[in-house]
Amino acid sequence: MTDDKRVRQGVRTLRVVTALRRHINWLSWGLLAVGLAWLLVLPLELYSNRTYLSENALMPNQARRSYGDAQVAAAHQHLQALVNRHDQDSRVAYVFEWLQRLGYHAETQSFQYTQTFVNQTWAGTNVHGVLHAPRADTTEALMLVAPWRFATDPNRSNLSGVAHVLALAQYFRELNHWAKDLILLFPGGPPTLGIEMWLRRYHGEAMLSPHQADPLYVRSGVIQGALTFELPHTAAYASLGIFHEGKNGQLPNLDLLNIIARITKQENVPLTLHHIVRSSPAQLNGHQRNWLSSDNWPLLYRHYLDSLRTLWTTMAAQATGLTQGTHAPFHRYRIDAVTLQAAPHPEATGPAAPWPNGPMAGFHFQELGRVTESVFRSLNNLLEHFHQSFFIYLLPSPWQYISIANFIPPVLLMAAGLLGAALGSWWSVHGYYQPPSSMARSNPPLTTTTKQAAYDWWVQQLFAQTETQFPRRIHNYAAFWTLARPTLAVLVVFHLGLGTLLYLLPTIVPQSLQIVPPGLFAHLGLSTAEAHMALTQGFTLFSCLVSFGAVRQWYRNCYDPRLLRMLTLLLLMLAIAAVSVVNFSLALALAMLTAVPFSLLPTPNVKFEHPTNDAPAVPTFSGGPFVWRSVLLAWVMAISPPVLANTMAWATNQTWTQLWSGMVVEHQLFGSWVYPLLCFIYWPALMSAVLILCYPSLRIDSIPNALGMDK
Amino acid sequence: MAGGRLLTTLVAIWLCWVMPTTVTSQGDSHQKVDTFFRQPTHSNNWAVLVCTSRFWFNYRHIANTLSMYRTVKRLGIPDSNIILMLADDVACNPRNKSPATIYHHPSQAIDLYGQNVEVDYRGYDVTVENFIRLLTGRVKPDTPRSKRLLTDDKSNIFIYMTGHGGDEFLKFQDAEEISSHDIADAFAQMWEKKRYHEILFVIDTCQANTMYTHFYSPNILAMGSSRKGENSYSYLHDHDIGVSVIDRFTYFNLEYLENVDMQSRATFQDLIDTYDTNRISSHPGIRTDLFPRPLDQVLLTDFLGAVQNVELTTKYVNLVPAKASRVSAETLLEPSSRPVAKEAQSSPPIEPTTATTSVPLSTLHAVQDHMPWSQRLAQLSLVVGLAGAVALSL
Repeated sequence: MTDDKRVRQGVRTLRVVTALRRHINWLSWGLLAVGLAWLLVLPLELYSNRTYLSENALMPNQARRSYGDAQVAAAHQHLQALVNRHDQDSRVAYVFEWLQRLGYHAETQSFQYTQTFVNQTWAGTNVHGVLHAPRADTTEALMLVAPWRFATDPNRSNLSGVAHVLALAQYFRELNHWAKDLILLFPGGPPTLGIEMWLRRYHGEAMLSPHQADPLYVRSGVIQGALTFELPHTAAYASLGIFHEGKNGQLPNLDLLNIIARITKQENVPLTLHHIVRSSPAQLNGHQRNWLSSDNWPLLYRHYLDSLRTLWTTMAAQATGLTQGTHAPFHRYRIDAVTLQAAPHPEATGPAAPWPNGPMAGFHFQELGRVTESVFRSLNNLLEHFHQSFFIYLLPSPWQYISIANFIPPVLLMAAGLLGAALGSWWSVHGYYQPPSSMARSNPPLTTTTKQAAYDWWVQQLFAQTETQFPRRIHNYAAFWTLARPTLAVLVVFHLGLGTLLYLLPTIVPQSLQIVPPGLFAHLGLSTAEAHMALTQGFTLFSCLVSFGAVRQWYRNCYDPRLLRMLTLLLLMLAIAAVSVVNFSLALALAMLTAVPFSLLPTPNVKFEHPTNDAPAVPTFSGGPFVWRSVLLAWVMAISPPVLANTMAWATNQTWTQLWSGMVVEHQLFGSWVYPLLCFIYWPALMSAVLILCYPSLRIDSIPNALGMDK
Repeated sequence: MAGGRLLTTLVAIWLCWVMPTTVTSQGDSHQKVDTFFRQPTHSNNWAVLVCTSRFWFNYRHIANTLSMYRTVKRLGIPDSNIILMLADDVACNPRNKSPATIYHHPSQAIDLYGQNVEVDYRGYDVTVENFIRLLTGRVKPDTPRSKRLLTDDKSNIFIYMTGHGGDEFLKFQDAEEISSHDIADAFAQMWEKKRYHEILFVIDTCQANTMYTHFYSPNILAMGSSRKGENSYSYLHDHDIGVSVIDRFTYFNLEYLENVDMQSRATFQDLIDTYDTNRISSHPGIRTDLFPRPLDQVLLTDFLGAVQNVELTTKYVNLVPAKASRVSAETLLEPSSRPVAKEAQSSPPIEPTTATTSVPLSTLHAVQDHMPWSQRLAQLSLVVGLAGAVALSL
């Protein structure tokens, strides 16, 4: 490359960068706006694809199923027997006895788990039976699970589900085509905990001291799929709801949902996601999809709203990772699992009857049995593992999916918007030390007439600019480091330090309840969650005060809110981008909560009183009007975790302590990331925002001294 | 009772034996010559039947191959001359609701895996390398005879392949694939090494016709189930076993072949005429440009059966030098020109280098129908005597 060429390239780059520097804030706001608007496109019928069966081996609906009246009668018998037994122990004994009688290898497992944070001990007994495949090598297994109570609502009994699975146990025993073992599990205690204890023992995970669970001796091979049934005790069901979200955004392979969708359709069982009943058909035909015809608009509009509702519900479930059913613990062990929960039919009255008089509304054991038989026949065909179809997807309906390539752009655009805002801050810092160049806007003097002369002028300007802007890279790095050190210290020491402390609190608090302030919390009548929240807020307040003090006293010379803003935005941006590929919903929640207020955080404007190249620059700063800062502060407060917890509690009809302790327990028991993310990213970022809003000014005149620069 | 039976027997014998000879006219003589010279020129038949698919859901590919195995065995090719390659053992798959059986029809009338099935290459033995080594004869010295293709320059080989394929490739197992170039080159080597006389190559897979496009060795007749860009579909589904049990192309071939026996004079043209693209759901292809004989003169049993050409006859053929009967010699050329017109619709015209012209004309002999009345009477009396003996014994 010749020098001329290089210079010309340099000029071009400089022009672009200068233009970018001038418009960076608008650019980042634009990116955020596009990202947010894009989210509204997701539910459009045109935007999603139809699901298709990816794994050839599964072959749903290909075999004749013969679950019939005899099995329905057996299910009702079991149900009656279970209803007649009133205490849990005799019911467990009943199931155990039946499994043994049917030729299953049955076993019970007792467990006891003490959760220190909520200071509670749960105990229960799991029963499971294994049917070894008659002609296979018994290295693979499928699971059928029926908890005694609904995982989401412990007040609802699932005796129908247990009876259903028992009837199937009897029926499956008679079939000879199993290529995989069948494991039937009836988890005791809180269902998800029972499953987790069972899975830990099955996979040989060492038990920590508070976890006490019997070892399992009746075993099988690798579990490849699990189906959980939760059936209310009623005469007829209206629809079957799929619950599929696991912890940390983990989802079962889409093929599992695909076969369930295809089989339920074959058996005329209405299928929903999270019991969201659609007012429009989930599958539109070719004519209905045509949005050019205005006749279709009402239908397409309803379809859009239904899809929006479904997406919102399923994504909220995925983001929080709060237990949606007994399938959730399976995903962590790389087992594809879903919960099938039946919704009671509104017209159904009284308990279930084996031989209803007249035509029955809705469906019951017969259809469920056929669905289950078909699903297991299909799963039985599976080779090695679910691997063909998507593991990352969004579902606007059971028949449509949005692939990651289509749903990730909005979140990445928002992350890019935050990156732009961070760049704006950084350039604003950088711009202070170097007088702003008026070069990009200026033109060659009128005296230069020839092209060559104009070109020479540009080259001159470029070299002048380079001289002043990048005199010595090392020096500038040193300057940056001198400048950034206090800001980094604020962020790392106080805010991330606070994060660590918050993270450790749940394990410290129970001890502190007993030892540190003796009887204080009990005296105040606070529960552990409340104490935790109180301590959290106390720590936050303390940390804020320390940050303020440090900024005022120790770092007054060099503290620069623009740098803090930049680092905070980068932290958020990185967190959003990294989480988005694993748990899209959580990243989206993070982006939607923070992107707008954080990108609006004031960047102190630098105004030079004498913007000439000769005189030294004397800048002044302003953090924006007080009212605007107050509005932003209120906004930041509104998205702070305690307020969010209260809002969510109000929305989901729970108490916030339930949610709060639930989140911590989710983390400790199931490894959910929500709590660590809150501690290490969200809360520190919010604290930085508060600091920036409350303390926007800086003593700028001392900085050049600190850097050893001449005025 | 016995008299009626006797009468029937006599009439039948007269119809079958005497009648044809009496209606023979002078004009049929060239046909006889034709038949005489169109005696199979090969001396042994071989079959290589390959299923390249694994897994339970490919049940139909194993059933396809076993159906062909059953057919060629029924038509006389012995197990020693059949190389059967099955990439999976669905009969013993735990998912098989009827253990140790394989059916190609939901009626489950014929158990293809019933008796005396000799699988030579099974499971992971079925690889591209093993297949090419088998064809070209480059096997290790310790390879048993059952795993070798012991053919010579008088062998007619029927090669049947089925599995999952695409444009110019066929998948073997789940890991590798064979391309049409590989097979073409293997055939070329076989020709150089005088390992075949003629080859019938049949393949039932998606885009099957692309598999024979690169063949360049002589005497190969190739057939495929579907054009480039077309899928080959399954036909019958067994809801009891829960899988599809046979593919369309193979099924409709078998439908015709079931009525073919060892003595059949049915030709490939007859078979091809039965193809209905609507029922097969794809367009079967036939490549004849490498194959010297017209299809209506190629018996199905030339490839699918091992017919011993032993014919008992009381007639004799009188060979006279060609000079004596020039007219008859000229008529010999007719068969080569006739099928050209017939073939023009379905395949490129056959080059005039057919088998008949390769025989020097000077050695040709005309045949005269020559059966004196005395011999015919003697024949009749022999029959009557025999029939009488039969009737008496009854």
